[in-house]
Amino acid sequence: MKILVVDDSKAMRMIVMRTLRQAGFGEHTIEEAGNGIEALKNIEQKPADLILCDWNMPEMNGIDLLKKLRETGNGVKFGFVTSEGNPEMRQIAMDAGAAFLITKPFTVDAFQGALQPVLTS
Amino acid sequence: MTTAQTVEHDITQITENVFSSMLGLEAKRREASAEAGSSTPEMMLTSLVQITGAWCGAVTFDCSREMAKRIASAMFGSDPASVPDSEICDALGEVANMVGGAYKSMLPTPVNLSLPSVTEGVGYRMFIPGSRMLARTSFECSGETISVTVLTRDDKG
Repeated sequence: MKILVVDDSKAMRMIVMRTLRQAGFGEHTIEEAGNGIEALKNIEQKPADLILCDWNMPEMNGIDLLKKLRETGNGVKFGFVTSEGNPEMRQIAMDAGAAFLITKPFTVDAFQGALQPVLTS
Repeated sequence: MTTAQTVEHDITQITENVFSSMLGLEAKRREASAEAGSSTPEMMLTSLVQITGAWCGAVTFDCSREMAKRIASAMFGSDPASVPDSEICDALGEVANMVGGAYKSMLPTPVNLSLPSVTEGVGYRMFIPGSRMLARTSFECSGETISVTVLTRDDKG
């Protein structure tokens, strides 16, 4: 399985990838992109099975990326990993087709709880 | 509890959580009277996110360059002595983003969070026109002082 980590912060991409390994998802292929545009280019080359995406990013933010994917018929599993997690944003994310929203700061347990059902479904 | 005390309480919980869960570092709140002023000017960094909408203001994070290196090292899993400036800047911006984002979730909606910006220098002061300081909370972390400041703009300008 391919997991694509999308965040404009290289530091946060490192932390997310480290947390994925600590949560037991290290056997999957993990790739990274710095914004929504880069993510679209990445999955053009090879589709992802799961996208873990920040919300606030330059060029193309996370919610616009998710909407773009769904508009073009791409149903890839999609979860947000973001510092913003109020109920309104969660609702916007779910309405747009996200499977989950993990708020920063997060824990290994939060990753396991959110990703396990999605990756095994 | 005054507004400032409530903000300090919230910022304390957020910052301690960010440092422990994301960086593996302990940040312990310091009383204002315990803040140690450095007699020698040192290189400092400030990262900042602005919040606009139903509440307008900013959240800033201040620390020394040495502390910034430790934070970047913790995020990247690298040697503090060899962390490049780009990674220090990236890591400090992400701290402001996480603390500011968590604080934003406690505010009335709708509110928007800006992308972070980072400043570095010696003896500088930072201003956001029309804003005033709501609370400044200091912490001890790895023998260094770090601070989180919440600024508010009453004019919502």
